[in-house]
Amino acid sequence: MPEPELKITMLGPSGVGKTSLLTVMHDRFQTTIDETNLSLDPDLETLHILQNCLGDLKSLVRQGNFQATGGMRGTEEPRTFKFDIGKPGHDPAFQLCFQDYPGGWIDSNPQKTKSVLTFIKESDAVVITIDAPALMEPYQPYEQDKWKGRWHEEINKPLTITTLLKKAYRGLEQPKLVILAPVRCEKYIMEGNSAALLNRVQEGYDPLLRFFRTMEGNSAALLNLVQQGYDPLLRFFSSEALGQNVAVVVTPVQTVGSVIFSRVEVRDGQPLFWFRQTTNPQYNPIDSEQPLRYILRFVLKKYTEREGFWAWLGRLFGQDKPFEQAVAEMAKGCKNSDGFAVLQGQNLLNIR
Amino acid sequence: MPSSGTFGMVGFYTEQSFLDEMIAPYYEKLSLGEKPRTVEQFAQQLPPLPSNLASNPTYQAMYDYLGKYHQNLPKYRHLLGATSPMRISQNQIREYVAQDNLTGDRVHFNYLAVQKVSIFCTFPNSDVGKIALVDMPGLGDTGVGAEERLIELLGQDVDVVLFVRMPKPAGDDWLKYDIDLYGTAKNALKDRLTIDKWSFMILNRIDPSSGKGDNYQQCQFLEGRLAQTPIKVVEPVIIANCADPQEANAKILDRVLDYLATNIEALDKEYASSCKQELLQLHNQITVELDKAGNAWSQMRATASGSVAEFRRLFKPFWEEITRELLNLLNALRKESDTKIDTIVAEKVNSAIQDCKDDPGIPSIEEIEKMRRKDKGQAAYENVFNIYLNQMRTHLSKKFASIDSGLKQLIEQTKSRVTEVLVESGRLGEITEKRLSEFINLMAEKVPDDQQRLKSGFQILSKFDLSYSVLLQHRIRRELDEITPDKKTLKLEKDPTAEEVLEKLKILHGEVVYKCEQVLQGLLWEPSLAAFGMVEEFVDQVLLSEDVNEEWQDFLEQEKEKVWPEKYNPHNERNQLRTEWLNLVERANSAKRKLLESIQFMN
Repeated sequence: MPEPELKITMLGPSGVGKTSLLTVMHDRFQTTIDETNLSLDPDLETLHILQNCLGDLKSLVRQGNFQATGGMRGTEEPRTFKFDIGKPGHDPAFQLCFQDYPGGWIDSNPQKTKSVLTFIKESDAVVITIDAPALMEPYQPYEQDKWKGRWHEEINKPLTITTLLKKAYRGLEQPKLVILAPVRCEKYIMEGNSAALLNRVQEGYDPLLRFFRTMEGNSAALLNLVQQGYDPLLRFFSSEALGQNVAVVVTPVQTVGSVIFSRVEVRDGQPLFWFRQTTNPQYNPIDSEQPLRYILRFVLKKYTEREGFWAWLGRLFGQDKPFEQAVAEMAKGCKNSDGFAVLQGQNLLNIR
Repeated sequence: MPSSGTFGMVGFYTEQSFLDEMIAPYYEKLSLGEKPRTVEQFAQQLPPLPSNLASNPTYQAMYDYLGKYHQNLPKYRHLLGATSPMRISQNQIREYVAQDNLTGDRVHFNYLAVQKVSIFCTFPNSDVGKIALVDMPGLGDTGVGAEERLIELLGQDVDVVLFVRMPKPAGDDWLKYDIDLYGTAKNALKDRLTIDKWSFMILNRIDPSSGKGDNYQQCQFLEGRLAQTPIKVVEPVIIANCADPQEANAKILDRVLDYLATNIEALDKEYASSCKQELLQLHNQITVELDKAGNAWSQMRATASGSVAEFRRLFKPFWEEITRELLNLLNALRKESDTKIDTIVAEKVNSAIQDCKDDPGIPSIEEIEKMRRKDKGQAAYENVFNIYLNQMRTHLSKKFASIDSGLKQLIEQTKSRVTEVLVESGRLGEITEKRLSEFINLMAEKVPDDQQRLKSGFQILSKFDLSYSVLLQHRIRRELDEITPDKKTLKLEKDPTAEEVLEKLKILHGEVVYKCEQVLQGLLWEPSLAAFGMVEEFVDQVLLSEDVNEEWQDFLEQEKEKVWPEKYNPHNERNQLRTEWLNLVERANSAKRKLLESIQFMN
């Protein structure tokens, strides 16, 4: 019997750092294996990609001054990253399957969009990778007291992502986890601006988050939106069927540590994001395993409490208590302060 | 006294001054009816002394004195208006200053036409410089008004007073008229000179050999009695024979001069100080009077020229228009500050940023090496790095200071927009030729103090200013931390090179300029907001504060000829008069200011 598979969609435009996120997520996870008694093993193809990427990331740290997009190659084809998860020395309990779509796929032809939509629908979780400097820099007012990063729309494409998720979650039956994962957050966390970063994520993805809120069945919020002239179709999402079905979390990741955003230079109308070392530069990603912790937490909650089609996984957890405990231990390490937050659906993440 | 070179200069009354100063006071004092306007009129029959006065010997004596002017008119009339001053020789002096000749006959009448005689002679004490002796006719024994004129002279031209009294050989004492005379002189000197320090009492001793009797005993008697009278003079009393030039010089003149030489400085100081006080008082009085004069026209209400109803009809649309347009301006400014970054300041910020990029002040490799070798041996690269960071900081700081002019321009432009509304919609343009912010400054000065809210509104607007140092500098300084040696997070490697120093300087320069740009871009709303706040405060004061509508009416009442020239013709006589009056008041005010300056320089 093939091992059960949990699907996760990686969303985010080209070059934003989805592969890097997976690489450092895996890398950081390795350091916690001993504590949790869990193993996370990539298949050979995945391992190959991750190792290449890791080499690139480590070499970045040795450069004094570099441009982010020039440092890494953007993904051109959809790629699947598979990780077996289980107890060390045992057969894997199940497989985590991350589907990385190239930025171009998201908003290009209908056929490709359709396949992305299908995968999102089948996925338990969506990780939206956000380029934090693009979200934050240069942070300019477009109206008094209303600020946003100059390049956010262009680089992170929040509207495309919103549109996609609105379509994908129409008629949603299963609970979903959405992770907003700002990457390259070193500067903001180091300077103690994690709260600003969190605010900015919420501002930058406001339409998406509003949409998710309607899915919480919050009729007051919905009414408010409708009153503001929002799409009357939003009424649709307030139906009980969608209530409490989406958990939304924010997990800022310091992709390599000790390399911080320095400035944006605009050349020929295009932004170049410059980064630089800090004192004592070394490869040291921080919090990069957090998205994975949240994914496991969500999965644990979802499958230990459900019956029916997915009951096998619940039974698996039920039958293998040490494994369940190991997952639970890992999941308990989810951070929810200093820029981390559960924006909604806390009930979908509560574990015993 | 030597007589060589002695001569006189005689000043005569003109006919008019003779009538005004000499004759008119008699007519007034003696109730003789209408004063003569020409000498011919005076030459006619003298009106009789009213019977109620005729019984009083003093009035009768005065009337007799006037009679003397009247009867003898033909004898001196030709001198009224004669060329003045007229030089006369020593031997002519008597006929112009005295009534009688050497033998005591009252044959001279010229003195009745004489206003003033100055006698010039060689003075024996040539070492003391110029001395002028003002010989006053015996006070109390001349005609009406003479006393006042003499007293005035005493107050103005005199430095030292010598009271001269000749005790009668047959027996004498200090009499009422001595005390009155002293009192009169004291009043004339006012507080400027304390008479007890500036006057001497001279008892004129009669030469026993003159055959006029010997008054020495009486002189001593009077000297002894002086302390019991209110007469206080420099002590001791001088007893001298004034007819004897030697005695006059030695006992009187030398004594007085010695006294002055010893005390002049202290006395002068006291005198100057009292003058200063007096001038200040005068200045204050002038201020009060000029204020009254200046306001005299302002206080004339609409009723003085044109009806209240008419003024009200004119004011109503003015008020509606100015309210509407100022509120429109305010709304426009609010919208601009909400939605649009001010372009003037933005341009300055952008050009400052561009200047930072174009002229980064980053050294070359050679310069870094040179700096390293500059002081005794080789300095550590870390030191050189820090030196250049410090230089970079001051270099950048200076560049940003240029934003100041943008802020000033914005405020100037905003004030000018208010001016535009007041001039265009408020029709206030004719009040002054000044425009732009100068119009506001002028209004802040021009609106009278009693239109307090209106004035305060214009003052707030007039004084408002924005500067880089107050608004932005501290925000920029914070962003310069990364190029502050103690605070930087980018340090040199273990074995640094000049290349590394250069690269890191470039990185930090780029980063800091970027950060400053972010801060400034973020603050670009502030100047517009401040400009909006400035106008909002102005509008609050001049449109919305209590009773300000009435203050506008008061203000416009003064300026109505300029605001509504079609209704209030600026060329009518009244207005010309008003303009002239106000000009004169202004000139007087300007003279007054100069006076105050001069007073302040005294002592």
